[in-house]
Amino acid sequence: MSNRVFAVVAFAFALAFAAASQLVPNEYFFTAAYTVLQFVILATAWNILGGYTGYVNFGSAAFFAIGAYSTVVLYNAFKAPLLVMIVTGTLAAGLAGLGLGYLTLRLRGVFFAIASLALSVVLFTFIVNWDYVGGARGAYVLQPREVPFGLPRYIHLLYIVMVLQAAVSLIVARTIEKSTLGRGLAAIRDDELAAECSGVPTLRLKIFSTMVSCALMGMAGTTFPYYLSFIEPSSAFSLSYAVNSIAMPLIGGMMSWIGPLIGAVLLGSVQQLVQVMFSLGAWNLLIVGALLVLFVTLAPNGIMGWVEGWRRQKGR
Amino acid sequence: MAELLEISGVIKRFGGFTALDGVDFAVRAGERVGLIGPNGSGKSTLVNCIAGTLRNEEGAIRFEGHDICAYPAHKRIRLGLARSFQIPKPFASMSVLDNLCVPLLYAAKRRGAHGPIADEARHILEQVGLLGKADSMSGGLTQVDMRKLELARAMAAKPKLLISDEAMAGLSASEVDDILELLLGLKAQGVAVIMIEHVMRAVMKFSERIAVLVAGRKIADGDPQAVVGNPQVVKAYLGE
Amino acid sequence: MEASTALVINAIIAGLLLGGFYAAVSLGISISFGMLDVVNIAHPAFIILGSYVAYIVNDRFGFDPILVSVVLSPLFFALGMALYRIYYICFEKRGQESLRGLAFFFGILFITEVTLVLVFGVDYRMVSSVYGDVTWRAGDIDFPMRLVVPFLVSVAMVVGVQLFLTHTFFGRAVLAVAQDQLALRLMGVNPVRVKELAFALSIATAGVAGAFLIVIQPVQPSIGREYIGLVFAVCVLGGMGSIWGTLIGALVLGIAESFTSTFFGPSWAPAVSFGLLLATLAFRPSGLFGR
Repeated sequence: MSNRVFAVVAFAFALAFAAASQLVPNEYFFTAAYTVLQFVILATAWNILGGYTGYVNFGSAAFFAIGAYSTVVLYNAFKAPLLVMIVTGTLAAGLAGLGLGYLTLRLRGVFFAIASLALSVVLFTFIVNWDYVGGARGAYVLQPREVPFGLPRYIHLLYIVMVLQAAVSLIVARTIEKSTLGRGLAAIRDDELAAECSGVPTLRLKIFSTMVSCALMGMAGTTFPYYLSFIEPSSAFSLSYAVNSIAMPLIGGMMSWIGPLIGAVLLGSVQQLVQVMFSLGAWNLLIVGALLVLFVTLAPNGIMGWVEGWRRQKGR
Repeated sequence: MAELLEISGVIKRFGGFTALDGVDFAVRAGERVGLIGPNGSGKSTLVNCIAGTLRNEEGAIRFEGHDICAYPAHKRIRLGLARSFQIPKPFASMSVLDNLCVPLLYAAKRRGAHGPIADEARHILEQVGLLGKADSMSGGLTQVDMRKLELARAMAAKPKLLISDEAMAGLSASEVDDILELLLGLKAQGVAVIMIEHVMRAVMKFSERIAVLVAGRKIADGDPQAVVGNPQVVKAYLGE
Repeated sequence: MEASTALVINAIIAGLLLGGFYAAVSLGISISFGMLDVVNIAHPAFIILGSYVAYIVNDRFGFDPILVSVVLSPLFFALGMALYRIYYICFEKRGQESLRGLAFFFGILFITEVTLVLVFGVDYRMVSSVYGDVTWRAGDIDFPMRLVVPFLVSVAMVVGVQLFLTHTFFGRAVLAVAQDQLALRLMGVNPVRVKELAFALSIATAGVAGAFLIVIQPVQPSIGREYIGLVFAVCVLGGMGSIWGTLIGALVLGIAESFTSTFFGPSWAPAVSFGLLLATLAFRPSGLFGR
């Protein structure tokens, strides 16, 4: 399937899906689906750097929070339209990724990983001490009274935005994967030195994929303050984002765009179920952590790895 | 004929250790040169400095007249200066064919090499005798095939100069002949080759000229027969 | 003495005392990351685990937490051996340490934290010790014993490990393991075994450092995260794999944090280590004392 065809199909599917789900009578569906979609975007974004390029980003929460807090700033400053917030947050997170990549991607990969962890804490401390966005107390970001497009409630709009953002993320990921760029990234992942000596401008490609990956993570956070109507540093920087965005691609499979999608939908839904049925928030994190460790030790290629193996056997 | 690669006064230090101590060396277009020397004499360091995976502290490295000392490795291969690795470094998650597509897309195509990438890759695989394994995963190849892939990937960059870094170490006599034939075939395409090798039989058969590196200095450079008869070279190899 | 001078001197003293403790916390990372090239980002989890072990025993039997941790350090040693076994078999042997190995340790970090939350809740826990509430005063200068005792034991531990590494056959094998595995094999030493034991040592130091931590301040499961940046900052700042560098890096960091707390408020302190780490990585990745 060519990139353009895929993009059209993905958008059509997303719109159809969003429209059809408007028929769901249960309001909770939208709240839950919003969270799952958030994870789809984060996992897909993480995989562009982690799965395609082989660089581990522990700072998903930081980039997500950059998106969220840029919305808070724009809200406090002049109640900017949602679209402006989305674009700004995406760009801001992309810029932060560019900066982090520029500073640390010359070094061995582990240093990037450690620096990304460091960035989360630095940003967290910064936000906690920044009164304009509410500091440690948090800030209210009220949903507008009037909901556009004749939708019944604002959460419906946020949900549709999220579906579209997920579609955009998947299209970006797949386009990169199938392109010359994607082949260069895969070469970096397999052997960076050999990639450089095969003509791949490794540093530039790494920085670029970091930037795209971080921008998408930021995009996922831009509507978050509206979703909760209230934002505080500990929810925007929740470790849950960092862990889930790593666990989901690893569990789904990192070699293609479909792995993170599967991982996110699966793990995201399970977490929602556990939350609703047993209201056990902490157990959720334990489940994700345990699955992460289990998969990474026992099934390093994830669910898609099984599927591939099964297909190959069948083909024989 | 103009020099294709021209190295003068190259110095490379690692901490207090001087690995290359003022090396001068040149290769003409289409020439086949053997580079020999005992272990630790600086051969691999020289290859790394030429290919750009290490930076030399002093001296000049010119390729087709351009000073390339400041160029990163990917820029050098795009100019047509390719190298293979002593320990094969395949892109293990890719098929053999896809391995060749990387330099084809990132190096050869930029210098205007045309034609569908997959066909080009197949053509090269045919030359090295790996066509039958085009769709195998490169991580699972045998040692010989791994070495062949390593050379094939360097060839896929459509280089003007190929540096083969000990492509034959540990191979059997017939496997050595396979690789040798492959490298000799490059001459027909006008590709200059620097062969770094311990297998003297292969070096003597292959080289039009031999240079000897000992302890970071070039102690001999010239006609193969004359060089191996050189008392200094004999001393370096057999010890004091 | 003028008030501001006293403030500065107190900040320096507190920073040095804190720095000694940071050296103990980072010692294990200097071994595992600096020498063995095992990027154990779960290191802080074992520190917190050490805190809770010291807490449980102290709470039940009233034993001194630091003494407890030293006596129980073989447990952590064994845990470290088991962990390295898994890491080696699943990742290092397959050449997958860079991505999956990192994710593995991240998962371990996470599981440990969440398990502690499930068992003990998010309340802060503390220990009682005979020196906990004692403070020496020299004029305006304070020497709180809850900092001085961990400082002294930390420095002793760091010096002990350094002497052990430089003066025993095993220690020299550890120093060689990253440089030249072939030479080790030729000497009849199995590098994997050396790494296993050295990694176990690193985890044992984490357990002991955990007891220091809970003597210094109340502990809650998620504070481990704050130490991730710190241990790597110290390790990188001091130059990878140098124990003396670790000690000096830790003291520098301790003073920097102490000054930040004193003059900008404690809420900025966590950013210091991470900021320093980012700056070191960006501008001087070989560390303060690297070439």
